Amino acid sequence: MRKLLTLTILLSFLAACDVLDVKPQSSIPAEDAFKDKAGIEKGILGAYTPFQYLSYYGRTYLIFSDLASDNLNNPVDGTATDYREVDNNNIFPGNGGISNIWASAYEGINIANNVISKVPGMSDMSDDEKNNALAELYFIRALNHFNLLTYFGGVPVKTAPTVGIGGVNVPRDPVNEVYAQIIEDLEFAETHLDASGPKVRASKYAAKALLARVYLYQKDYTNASAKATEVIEDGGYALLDNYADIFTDGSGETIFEIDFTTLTRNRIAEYNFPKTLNGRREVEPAASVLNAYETDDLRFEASVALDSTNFDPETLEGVLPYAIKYNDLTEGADNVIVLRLAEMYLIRAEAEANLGGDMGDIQDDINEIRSRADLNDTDADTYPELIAAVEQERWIEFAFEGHRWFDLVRTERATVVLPNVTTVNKTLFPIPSSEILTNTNPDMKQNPGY
Amino acid sequence: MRKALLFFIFSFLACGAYAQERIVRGKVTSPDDGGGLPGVSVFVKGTSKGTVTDQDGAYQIQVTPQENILAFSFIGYITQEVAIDNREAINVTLQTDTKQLSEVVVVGYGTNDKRLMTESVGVVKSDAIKDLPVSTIDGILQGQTAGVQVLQNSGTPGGAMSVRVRGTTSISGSGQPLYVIDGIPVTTGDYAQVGFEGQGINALSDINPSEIESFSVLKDAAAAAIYGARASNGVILITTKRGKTGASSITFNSYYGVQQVWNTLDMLQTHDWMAYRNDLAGTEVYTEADMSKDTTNTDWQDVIFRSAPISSYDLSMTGGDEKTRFFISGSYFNQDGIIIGSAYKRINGRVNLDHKVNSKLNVGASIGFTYSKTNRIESDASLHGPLPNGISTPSIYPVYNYDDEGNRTYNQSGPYSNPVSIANEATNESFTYRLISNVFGEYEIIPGLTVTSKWAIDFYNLREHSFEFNTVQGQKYEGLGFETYTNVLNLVSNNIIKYEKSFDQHTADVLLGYSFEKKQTRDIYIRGQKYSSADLQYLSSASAFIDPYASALDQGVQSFFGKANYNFANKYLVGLSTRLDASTNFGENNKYGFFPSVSAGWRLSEEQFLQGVAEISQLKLRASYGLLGNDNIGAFQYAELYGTGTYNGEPAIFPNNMPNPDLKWETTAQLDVGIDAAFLENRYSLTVDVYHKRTKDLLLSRSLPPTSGFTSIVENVGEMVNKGIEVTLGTEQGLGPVRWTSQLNVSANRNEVTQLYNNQPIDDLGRGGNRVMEGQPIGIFYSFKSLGVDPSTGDIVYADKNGDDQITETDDRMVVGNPHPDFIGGFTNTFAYRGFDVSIFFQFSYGNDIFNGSRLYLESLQGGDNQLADVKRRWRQPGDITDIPRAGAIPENKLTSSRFIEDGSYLRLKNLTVGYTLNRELTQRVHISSLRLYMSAQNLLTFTPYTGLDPEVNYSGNSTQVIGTDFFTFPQARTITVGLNLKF
Repeated sequence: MRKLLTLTILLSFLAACDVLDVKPQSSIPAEDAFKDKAGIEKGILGAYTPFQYLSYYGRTYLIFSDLASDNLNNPVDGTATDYREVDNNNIFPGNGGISNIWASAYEGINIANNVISKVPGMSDMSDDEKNNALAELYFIRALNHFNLLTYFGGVPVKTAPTVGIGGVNVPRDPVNEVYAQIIEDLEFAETHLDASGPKVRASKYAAKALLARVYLYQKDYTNASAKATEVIEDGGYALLDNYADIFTDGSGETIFEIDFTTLTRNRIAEYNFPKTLNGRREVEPAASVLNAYETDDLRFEASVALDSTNFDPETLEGVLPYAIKYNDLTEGADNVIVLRLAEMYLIRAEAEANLGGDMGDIQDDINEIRSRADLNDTDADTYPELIAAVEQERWIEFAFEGHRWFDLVRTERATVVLPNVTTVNKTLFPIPSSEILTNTNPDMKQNPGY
Repeated sequence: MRKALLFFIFSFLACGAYAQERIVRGKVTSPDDGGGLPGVSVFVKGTSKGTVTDQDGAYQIQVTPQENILAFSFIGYITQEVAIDNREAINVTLQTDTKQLSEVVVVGYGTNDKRLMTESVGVVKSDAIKDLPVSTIDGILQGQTAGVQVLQNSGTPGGAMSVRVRGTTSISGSGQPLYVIDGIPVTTGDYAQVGFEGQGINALSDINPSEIESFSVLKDAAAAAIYGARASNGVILITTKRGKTGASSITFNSYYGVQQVWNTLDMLQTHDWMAYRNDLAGTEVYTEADMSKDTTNTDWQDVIFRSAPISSYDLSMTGGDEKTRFFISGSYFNQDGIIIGSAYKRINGRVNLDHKVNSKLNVGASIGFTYSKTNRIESDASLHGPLPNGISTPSIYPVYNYDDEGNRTYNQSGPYSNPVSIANEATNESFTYRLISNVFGEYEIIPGLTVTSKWAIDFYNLREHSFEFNTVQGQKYEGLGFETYTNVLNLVSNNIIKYEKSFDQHTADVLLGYSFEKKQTRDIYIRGQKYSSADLQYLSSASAFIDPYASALDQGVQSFFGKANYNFANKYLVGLSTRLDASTNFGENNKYGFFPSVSAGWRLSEEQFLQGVAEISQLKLRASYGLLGNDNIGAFQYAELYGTGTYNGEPAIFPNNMPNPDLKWETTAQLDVGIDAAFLENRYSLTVDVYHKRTKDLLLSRSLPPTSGFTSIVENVGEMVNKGIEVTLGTEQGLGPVRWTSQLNVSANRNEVTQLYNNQPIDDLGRGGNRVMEGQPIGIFYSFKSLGVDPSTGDIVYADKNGDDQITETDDRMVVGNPHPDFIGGFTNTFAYRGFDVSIFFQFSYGNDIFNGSRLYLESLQGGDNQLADVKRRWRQPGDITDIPRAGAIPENKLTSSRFIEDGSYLRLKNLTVGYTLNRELTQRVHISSLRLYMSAQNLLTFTPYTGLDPEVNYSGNSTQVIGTDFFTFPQARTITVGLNLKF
């Protein structure tokens, strides 16, 4: 009996030996994460993943730009308060949508910085490979910084990964310093990235195209025009004949897209589609944009559909328009376009118009876009008219692609065009209260008016 | 360990050696059955010589000729003195001391005599709960014992409840107590992967209340510290029924009943709703002619609520002989929910066996298994549940459309999908398969010294299956289904060595133990879309699989523990206990947690100076102090880890947490001072406990500036205090021929968060604006203060806290309500007269606020939701004085604010039971030893100022922070049952 007892006790200690020796089964310990080139590659892909978040290109970031402007409205029966606030241009700092945009972009920046800090120590990578990897990460970091800058104004520039909780309380940086970092990152990216590659990853011309946009927003028209030209002439992209084809994954016109699959869905269609078609319809096209299409503009059909399930022939009411550029309601697996060639033509046209460039060239660029839509050549023939023509063309060409708000804000037209934007203060979103309440730095200040 | 053991043995043996003259032998027997009484102290009067009777009640003692009187004393019996008078054998039958009837209480790793306890333990016996038509053991505890607050999260059949022992001691860890069944910590919580917020699947609901003999709620540090790092929320020890020696008996218990909703909301009728829509649109959407037409006026609540049956059948058999005892039971429970589409079924089986191999070795097994099936419906926080959709759909919409041939289809033109279509067409099933079993052996090495080894397995399998095709949501995805499996396997080993010894007036026991647990969690989740047919529910007919995954988690706990009790003359009591826990959840720098406790008791009623006071039957003062832990944090949060994902079809990795190698358990230091008293021959009893619990190193997922790339980090940063008082008053007496027992328990707990990181509040939680901030109770309501409707504009006016003429989230929110009650309690009265018995059980909560989140939509005065009838008194023109704002799409009018906070106090006649036991002589003629019939009503009366469906509500399930919020939460039912208890 005693032997049995001893055995039992012995056994229980033996069985217990491995009780405390357990390893995580669904995450990788940090020390195993970046050992070689393959690890860096996975890390780079990891830095793209925040772009897929629903709060980012997966839905909110994209929709808010059209919603804050005159492209989308929050319908009367919409239920998302966050969306109502944005539609009314009366945003509270506690708005969950903007808070998540902010957090997603900074998560992307931190992941990129994290991998950036690991690249130099990789022994199995050549200098070229390292630069190539860094260039892609810099591109990701720049795009995130830029997306923050355009909604929130001067934001903290982050170029080092967060290690430990020391130093998390960072101040806001002035707008020009944010721009400087974005441009520095993108210049490195355009130098060291390959020209070819999948559309869902950064490339040399994606960097140049983003630079063109950044210069335009900065009103550095000379550089904007130059970069747009490089993309148009050397990038190897072509305007598609059929406008609707742009929105199939990896089309010949797109320069950079965010990858979505059934594993990482976007919910853009879900928020746009009417309930009769099983969407949530938290947003609907505004009358202003629907009226802004010229008659016979081929782009209308590719951008807006009409649901007449509840059409009432007596009152002629009950037809619901809804945006369909991203229309994979069931799986949300359609890629979201960040940069495409049409924008380059319009950037060059706008830049040249502001620089007083060759009027014929400017008209040609605008007409490239108009002719595809089966519209007559523009009749604008003064620089202010051309600038207005570009604005109109951008409105329609990029409707529901998340451009309109930024266009109206950067041209200082928001207060003129949008009735809810009563002061220039409203052209910046508030810094989310999730940041304001946690960041103890005295220079983490709220935007004026909030 | 061996040395320590030897030391203990020697130290006790050392006391007995003495000179001798001759030996007196004998046997001490019990007055009940004449059996031997083990453990009786036998000592020679006037000396310090003594011994204790053995297993069979036998003793032997050496006496000198001068020593002539032996004293026999034992707890619960009158001390007897016998003259030896040269006899060699003296047999004694002790008489029961009615004044000191002993009650054995199950405590950690053993039992204790209630009168000799220095711990604070709440006990609930099976008798108190036998007629309650309540399916789960946490529900059973409601109102039964002081200091235990059971919040029914909703009325979902089989759903989870929140149990708080002496308040909430954790912010981000769990607030649930540790449940220990037959000595084995069991898996609890919600493992559901198809999320229905607030209505989690409850792993505890697999246990059948009718298999339970008793509950012990370990409340203070002295009682709970032996469970170490998991004890700070209190420990609930559950003991299942075991076989009794004697003739085999069969018991059959059954009830059947009907449940109904006890309260409905007063909603707008069609005409008034149309008028509201006209006001909202500012134009005549509906003309006067439309409004007065005989239009559809659907009472949606009538459509979604139903009378639902509940039934329970329970058959058990017990018996045994000297060597072997058994308890076998099987039961079937079946409950439909009062909302269409919801149901719960459960089958339980249990075999408990005890066998005595020889005089030294006992072995046994406890095997419990369960199968249950839950039909769930989505509700809280969803736009796809029968309840929210039903209440929010205006009455102008019919349930069905009929075509010319009379074929009906669901009307889907309302603002939300048709609730009937969801209930009828959506399948949401979950199945659990559960095995909780243990085997044990107990070996007596020498008298008083035993080793016990118990090995247990708790295997929990949860399968969820859901499918919908013909609903709006189903159509959106061309068929939407989920298939999940969750396996939780917990292996537990408890090994204990125990020594008990009495000599003279000293009684001591010492226990040392070692245990480990190994827990494996495995789960699989697959979402399918695009099904080939509405009739094929399983994934094999789906053509798209969304985000499928399988994951694994291994955890382990290793512990050493010990305790020692000593009492002198049953008068002065001292207890020590401690546990050393190592858990895989703790950071590298803090692997071992140490949790000691000390307690003392003084039985004044045993003192000379109180012997003369006949009114006082018992009086004990006790105090305890100790440390308790909470290790309920996510696994591996201390480590720097990279999460995995995918991009462009390739694997991707990214940092997914901010590591904290210093992460450790939360520690609660608890001081408890209590009085146990009984008066007038034990007819009245009183227990009062006052406690102070300070929890430090609170695990806090503290918000980080999102610019860091992380939104939070888990740290041991917070502190919180709970202090309170518990009073339990009882009486048991005859009122003429009527036997009356009564128990009133009242507890008041005050919670205060005393420290957070940098005084940073955890802000705007849940739908009701709960907040965690220093100086306030956890989960306080913090939002705008509504001052009412401005008579000139019809808009809500909010208090402008900083007086800057702007209402901003940053500056103008304030504390507007407290979800914690001032006090809670239960009041039970039972009366027995001849064959009749009546039990009346009230439960109450006073002073807690509820955020009525449903009103945020039902009184929004914007959008297409149906509205409460209250909005008929909405503001319409300047000068109107009212509390309801104007109709208009004004976001400021539906801010989370004090406007939706209501008093949630209630007094509820939780249960009323009337029973009749048939005359025994009559029933014995048909070989029935007893037959009782009863009728029982649950939630018969509710008195509350709360205007929502039910004041017992908590939409966010087991969260410690998001509390006191109602959001279209499944209400409780009023249940009327008839039942019978039959014994052969």
